[in-house]
Amino acid sequence: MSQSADESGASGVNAELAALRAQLAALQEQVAELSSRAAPADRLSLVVFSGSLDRQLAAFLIATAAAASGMEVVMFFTFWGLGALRDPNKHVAKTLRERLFGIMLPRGTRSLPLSQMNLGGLGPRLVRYIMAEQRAASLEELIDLAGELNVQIYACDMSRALLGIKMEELISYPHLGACGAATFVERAAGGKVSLFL
Amino acid sequence: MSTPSPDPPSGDAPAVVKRIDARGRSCPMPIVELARAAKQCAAGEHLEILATDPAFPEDVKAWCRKMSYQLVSLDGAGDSAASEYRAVVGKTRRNP
Repeated sequence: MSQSADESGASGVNAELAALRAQLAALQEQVAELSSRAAPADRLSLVVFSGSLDRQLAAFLIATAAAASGMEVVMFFTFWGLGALRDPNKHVAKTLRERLFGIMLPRGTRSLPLSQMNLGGLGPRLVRYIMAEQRAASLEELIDLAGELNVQIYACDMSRALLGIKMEELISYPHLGACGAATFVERAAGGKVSLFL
Repeated sequence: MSTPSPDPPSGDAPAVVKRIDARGRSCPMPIVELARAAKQCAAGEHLEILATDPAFPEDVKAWCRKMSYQLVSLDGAGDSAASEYRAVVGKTRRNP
């Protein structure tokens, strides 16, 4: 009699232990989830929407400074921003509509206008001249630096399709990929800083 | 106003092992050059950087805070007449 009581007592303890273990596992999972939410990654996410020299300069200046300060940097290029990523020496087969869009959009960093004081193309040349005089890094130099500092660049799939820009005509950048808005949002949501340029 | 390192790794302060001349370069190049050189350094080594960028004194302080590097000394900061800055940055064991 006392032996069976011991047995039932032991199985009761075992069941309690199993329940406690399950509770502990559930709590550990919750803590892991909460701590991942509480501590966002040291990451900067940039949406580069504008296709002007000044805004592209701002985007790459901040991106390289952040990457040099130990941050992971993700740049999401969309709409007019994509023009800066075009390589003028790469030619791809396109439909008539895509070709027309292609003619209207800047072909790479060298043909970007200024968002203000463009003065029919004189503005960007003046800015480049002054920046060279002050030994400031050019946009092309900053893009090379960004590549060296492992800055990730994504070209938005939807706006590429809209503007008829193919991945094959983009610059040869070491960390270049295509992605959708949800991928960017997921990357940005887990990071500390997000900017729209 | 060179201040000695508060906690030198072993007795005497380590000698500057790397010098970067970023004079004449604009923001963010001095910091990018510093980050690039710091990566090549070992823990306990000191880097010296020369710059003329007016944003440099505040930028180098911010960079050291962000990266947990030790700002050993900063000359020319707070002196409005200074057009040249010299910073010594120390890499510690915690630094990447």
